[in-house]
Amino acid sequence: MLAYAMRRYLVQETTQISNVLLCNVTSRVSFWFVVTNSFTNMTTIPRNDVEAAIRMNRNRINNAFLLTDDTLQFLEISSTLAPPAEQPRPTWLIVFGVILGIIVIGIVLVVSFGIYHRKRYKNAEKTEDLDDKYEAAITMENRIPCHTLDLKAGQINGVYAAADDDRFTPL
Amino acid sequence: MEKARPLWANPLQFVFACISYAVGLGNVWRFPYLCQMYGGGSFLVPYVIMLIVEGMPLLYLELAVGQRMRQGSIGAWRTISPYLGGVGLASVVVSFFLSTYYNIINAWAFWYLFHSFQEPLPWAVCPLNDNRTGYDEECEKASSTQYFWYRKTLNISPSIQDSGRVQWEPALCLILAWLVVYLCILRGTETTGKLEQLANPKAWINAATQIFFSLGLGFGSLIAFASYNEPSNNCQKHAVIVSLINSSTSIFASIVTFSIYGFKATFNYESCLDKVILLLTNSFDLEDGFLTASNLEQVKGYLASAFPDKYSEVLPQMKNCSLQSELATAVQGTGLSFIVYTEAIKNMEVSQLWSVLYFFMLLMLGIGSMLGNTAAILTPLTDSKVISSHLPKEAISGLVCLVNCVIGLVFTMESGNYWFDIFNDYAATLSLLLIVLVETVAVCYVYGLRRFEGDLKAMTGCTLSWYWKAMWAGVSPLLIVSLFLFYLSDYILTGTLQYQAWDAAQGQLVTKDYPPYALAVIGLLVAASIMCIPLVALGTFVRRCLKRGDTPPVA
Repeated sequence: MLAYAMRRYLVQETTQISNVLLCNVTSRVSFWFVVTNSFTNMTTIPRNDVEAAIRMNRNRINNAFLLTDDTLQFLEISSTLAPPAEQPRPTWLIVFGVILGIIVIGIVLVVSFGIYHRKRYKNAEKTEDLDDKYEAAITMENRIPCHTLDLKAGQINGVYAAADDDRFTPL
Repeated sequence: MEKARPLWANPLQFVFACISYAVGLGNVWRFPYLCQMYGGGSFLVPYVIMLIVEGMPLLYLELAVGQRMRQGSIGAWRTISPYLGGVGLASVVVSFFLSTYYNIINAWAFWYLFHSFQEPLPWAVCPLNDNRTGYDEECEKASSTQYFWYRKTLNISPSIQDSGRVQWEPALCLILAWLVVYLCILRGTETTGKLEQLANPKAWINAATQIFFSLGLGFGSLIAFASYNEPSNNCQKHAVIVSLINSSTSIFASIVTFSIYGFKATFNYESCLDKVILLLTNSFDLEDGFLTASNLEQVKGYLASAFPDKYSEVLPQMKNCSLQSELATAVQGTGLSFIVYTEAIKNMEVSQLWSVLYFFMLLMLGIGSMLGNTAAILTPLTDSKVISSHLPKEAISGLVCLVNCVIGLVFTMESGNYWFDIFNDYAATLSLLLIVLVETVAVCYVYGLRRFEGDLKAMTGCTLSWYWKAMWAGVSPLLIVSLFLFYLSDYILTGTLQYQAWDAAQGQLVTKDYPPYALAVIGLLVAASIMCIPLVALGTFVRRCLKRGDTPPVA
């Protein structure tokens, strides 16, 4: 795996497995390693290059072992963490907008209903007031306007005039 | 033609309104904390005793006064005695302070509610740092839920002096919260009926205080609600019902809260153990799976003796995991609601559903209490003929909501949470004790207990039992006086007041002293409401003297 990684990085086809030297292998499946230069078997490839190579191919290395960044650790090579799922636009604003719209519509409805209700009530009051005023202006006697009583002809009792003759028992 | 006072459609609506007002966030976040601090189940003993001796009598008194006088708090107390109009005014002032800062809690609940519709929940994961190699530093040091609360929601500054700017996101949520409250109070009395604050002397004092504030005595809201009752309404029965329901809600909420605590403590304890195991496995190159929770202590002992140098290197990084210490983290207030609960929720299955349900419940509780508070302010305003003749009811409500909203924007600043704590701790506590004391003394000794008893009998038809009379005349005032003296001496003895500030670098809370101007604000808050009582009494006295001086005596 490491040889493959070095090959990819250095764009050299020559790094072999034999160029990767292991040491300090422990029972916990951890080890130290160095990569030697394939041309001159004595010198080692500098640390930064090896680190960069591993970083580039980390995914492949992980997959080969069926491990993840959490379970396969290269000391001092911190993994690039996947960014958390970024929302295209803040979701909360959408929900906020919906609720705000509902509340504002509710307020407008209630206020306008209240104003309409009060206008109707005021109109009913006004007509009642007018009636009272009208009655107060005209002099009354027994609820009959006085000026109608001045008729020389007298007051015609509407009951008999309007009544059907059939209502009264015929003699 | 006199306009009839609006009435509740039926007594049940009145009861529901009172319950919805009394059952608030205090039942969810204050009572479980007190239970935990003062011995768990044994806290119920002083709590129930205080409920019977203090809570129910005072609740009944306020409801009876409102129902008898049929006016809001200012009018009601002025009717009892012209010198006592200040009591009602003090209630209104305290309610005003409360409504200013209380609605920000609803704003935060809305914020969390809107953010619950995401996968994963935003407080479940830490954001990445700049070069994407690890998590954000502040989030690492604290926890993802704390980070979301202190950084994303509040964007809190390091101290109360650094005010910062108004944050637009919480400001929007605050405006929405006020619009919701406005919509609910527009429809008047019909709307508020719907469903939702030991051998150790401190245990008793806290039980008394909790009952007191949980029932919402002294704000004038209960008087306002009761003033819309039919005179024949049996408010004694309702007082008992409301206080019992309020207390059972508190107890139920603590059961839930304790199970949440247990869940969170177990989860955190197990994560802590896993971290320690990983640290040791890495440092000593042990075989994977060798270290487990059961053999951890043995292996630690072995490693300490076998590799003492290396072990001493690793020791500072190792946390001492203890289930007890996790359980002992008792939190109250906003910390409980927005940090502890969200932490528990994020670990549950289908966390979005629980999150939505939980914050919806918080909103219901909060808005129910807000409606009671605004009723306490609006009822005296709409009762006053001066104001209600010039402005329609909708305009008065809108104006009150607007003023409160603008002032509430202070709490959306970066230092807003510190000001919130100031208001939460000091705006209502001392003043309410004094207000309720004056109320009880006024009804019993100024108006006359016998006269009030006669009024109640004429109104409702039932006689006042000796129990209520004994409580009103003797026990409750004594209790309130002792509570008041205790708090006063506590404030004096503690010296300078301190607060908890969030330190972003350390990822935890640190204690700091209040600057002088913050102390001045605290003093003003307490004084503004208390001074109303003597000032109005003095003003009425002076006015009466002048009037008596002007009119010559009739021959």
